[in-house]
Amino acid sequence: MRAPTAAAALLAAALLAPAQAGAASASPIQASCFAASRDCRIHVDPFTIAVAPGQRLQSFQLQVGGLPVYDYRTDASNPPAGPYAPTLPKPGFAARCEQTYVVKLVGRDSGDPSPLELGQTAPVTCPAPEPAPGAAALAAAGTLAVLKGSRRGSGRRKLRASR
Amino acid sequence: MRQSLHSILALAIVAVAAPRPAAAGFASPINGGCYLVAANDCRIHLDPFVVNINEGAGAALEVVELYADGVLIYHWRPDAANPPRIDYMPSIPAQDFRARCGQTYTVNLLAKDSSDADRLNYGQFQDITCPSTVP
Repeated sequence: MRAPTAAAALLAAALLAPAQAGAASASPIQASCFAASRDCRIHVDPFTIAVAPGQRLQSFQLQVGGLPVYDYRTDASNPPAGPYAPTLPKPGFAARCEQTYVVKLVGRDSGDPSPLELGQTAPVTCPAPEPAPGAAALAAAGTLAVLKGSRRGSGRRKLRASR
Repeated sequence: MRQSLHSILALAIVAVAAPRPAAAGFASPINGGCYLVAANDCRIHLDPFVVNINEGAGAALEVVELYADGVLIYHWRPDAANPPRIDYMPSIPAQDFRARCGQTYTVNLLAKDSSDADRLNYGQFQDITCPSTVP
């Protein structure tokens, strides 16, 4: 494996740098993971990117586990100047079931020399592909059976008492 | 004095009533991106946009098209007898538009209202790269 170059290190540092005053910022980034028909998907709640006064939003990227899943650019001649709430794709973003991810928003307005980290979630865990009767499910099923049995028993007692 | 006021008023009326130049088609900003929905399944997503129609000239919207790197991905036509004559926001397919993972695209909106001589580039966003690796 090659040692990271100075440029790569600088880029990584810039990407990881927290948003500075006067730069783009965003409302909180909240996300979830869910099992879709054949895989798992990340769903990101709507968010708003605040653009620094006098600047224009240029781009943002959603990253999952450090990898880009959504690469977004604004209009070349008339990019948004004020706070902007992009719409997010309905199908969600690719993810692997039973894996845990941090979802990160990296963005840039015309005043930012490089993309800034605008927000990130706490770790999100993707569920199993489909709900299978695991240990927890079996335990829950056992508890349910006991409850049903005790209800049945109490019902019988009531019947006997009514005779 | 009154005559000069009349002249200014007349000029103002002419300026307001004058039709926009033929190549005046435009739209609200076209913003969007490319995302990875599953392995080898990338899609282009656009935020809603409004196509502005040259209402002053009594124009009607005739066609809206989206292109990804010059390839048609969306072709929209209005009602043949009663097309929109005011600014119009077409609905975008919820499934979005198929794209190749790992490829970089420029997305253009072309449209034409009846005051445009031909289809015009109403807006575009450039250099979106479709992700290629499932995290």
